[in-house]
Amino acid sequence: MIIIKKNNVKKIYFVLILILIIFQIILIAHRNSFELKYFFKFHLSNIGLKDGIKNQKIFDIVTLIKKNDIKRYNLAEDLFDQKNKFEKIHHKLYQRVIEASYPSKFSENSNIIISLNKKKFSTCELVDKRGNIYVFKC
Amino acid sequence: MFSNASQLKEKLSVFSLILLIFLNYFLLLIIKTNFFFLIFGILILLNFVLCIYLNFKNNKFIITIFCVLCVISLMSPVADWDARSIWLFNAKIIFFENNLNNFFDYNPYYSHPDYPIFVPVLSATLATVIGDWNEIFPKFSSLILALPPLIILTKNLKNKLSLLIFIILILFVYEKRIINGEIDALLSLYSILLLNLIIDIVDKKFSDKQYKIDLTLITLNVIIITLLKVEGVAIIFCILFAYLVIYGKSKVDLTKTFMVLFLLSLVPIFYWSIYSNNFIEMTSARMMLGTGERLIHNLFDFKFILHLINKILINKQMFISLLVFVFIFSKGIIFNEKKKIINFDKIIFEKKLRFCFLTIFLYSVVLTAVMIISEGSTYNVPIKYFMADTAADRYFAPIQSMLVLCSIYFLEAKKPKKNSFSYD
Repeated sequence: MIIIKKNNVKKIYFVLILILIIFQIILIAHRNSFELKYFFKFHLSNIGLKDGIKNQKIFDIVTLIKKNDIKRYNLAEDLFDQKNKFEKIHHKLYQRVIEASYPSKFSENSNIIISLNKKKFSTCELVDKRGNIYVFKC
Repeated sequence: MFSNASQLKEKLSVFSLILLIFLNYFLLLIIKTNFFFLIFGILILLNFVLCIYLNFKNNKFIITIFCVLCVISLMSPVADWDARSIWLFNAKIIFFENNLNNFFDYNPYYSHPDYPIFVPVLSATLATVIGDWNEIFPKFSSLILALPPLIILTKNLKNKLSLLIFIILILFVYEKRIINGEIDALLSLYSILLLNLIIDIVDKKFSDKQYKIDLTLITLNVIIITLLKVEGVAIIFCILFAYLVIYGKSKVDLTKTFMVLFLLSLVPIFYWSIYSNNFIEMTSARMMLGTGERLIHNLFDFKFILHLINKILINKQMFISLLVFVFIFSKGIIFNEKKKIINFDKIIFEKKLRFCFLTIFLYSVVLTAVMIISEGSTYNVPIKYFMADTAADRYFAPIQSMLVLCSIYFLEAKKPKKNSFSYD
């Protein structure tokens, strides 16, 4: 017959609960995109943008807007997922670009157009490019 | 709340933190300079650190977990949809505009600029302290706001098991929501704090000074709940109604005081609603609910109703809350097989538990009605059952918290039996 003293049972419970809490904290960190590379960098400008957006295409668009100090921009239709039949405002790309690039503002009347299609805007001036994303001034 | 006189410093640090956050928010409407944001931001951060330092000695376990969450928050960018697209986007606009003059100029439909800006203002203040916007520090506002309720609530816990249940609430029910920049966990924390404060002031005979302190805390709490999220107003009305039903007749003087305080506390949110409505075409509530015309139609869509109930009840957060609730309350329900009767522990029918149960019931009804009406709104993402799929677990966070609070109350009210089993 195994006899476990009350104090030992308490210790076992405590250790088990502690392990559970530690695992849960690790899970919370993982689900919040926790990265060691951000250690004591919370005060730096624009830090965490790439991991926050989690999409290379959107990150490239936002980087181009910020790099070229564009005040107002327009997003070409070809940037949006053509399989997604929802209105543009419900697309992740639309929302993420708008909030991440602020104080630069989206405007359908802007002559700065961001696009994937180089040929379509061949008559416009190419301002900058990053990956397969182009910024045109039309 | 804080019965020991030696705890005055801790109490003052919590009070001053809440007060500074309030001043920062309300003075934004009057003083419109970056310098003001900077001064208040530094003061709030210093007070936050002081609060942690002073409360660490008597609250080691919770404060340690809280500090770990702070570290995680300061090393993780904001990624969740609502946090990015609504709360921190609004904060970003306030930060770059410095004031509310141009806040409504640029609202790309989904950002809900008419939502209360209590938390976004604090996020913008934090960004001012570091001098520029980034994706990490502004969302720290959630943790700054979470500290006062955490301290006050855990001070009242009488035993280690209650503390453990509270930790389950923070780590397993709120999980990432306490640090990801969303408001639901904060709303839940302040809701159960309000229930707790009301029950305390009703149940205990305080000194005059303590009574006034608690009334002030209740008033501040009501204002915060309403300014956190639109649902806060519904929570306040549910709590007030439940209070009137349970305590209304027995505590006439207190009821009158509460009525006045609650109504006065609604002034800031009504002011904000009227102010913001001047700048937008349609309120977010109107977009979501319309005129309620879809209620009857959706109510008889049984497939939708079953789907909604499924989404409300079958999710991790609700499952854990219900599990804790059922597990703890099973101690108070005894089935007598021979007599074929069920005996309920008297504690279950205590006023404070009835007060909580009624609030849970009322708020559940309100939330379910809101979710039923909102289905099919032309302003939502045109996906079938969109709200039920994406928001049911989040919206019910205050309910989940109240279930856990009830469990703690029951556990603490139930005295251990003298001849209980021992391992020795």
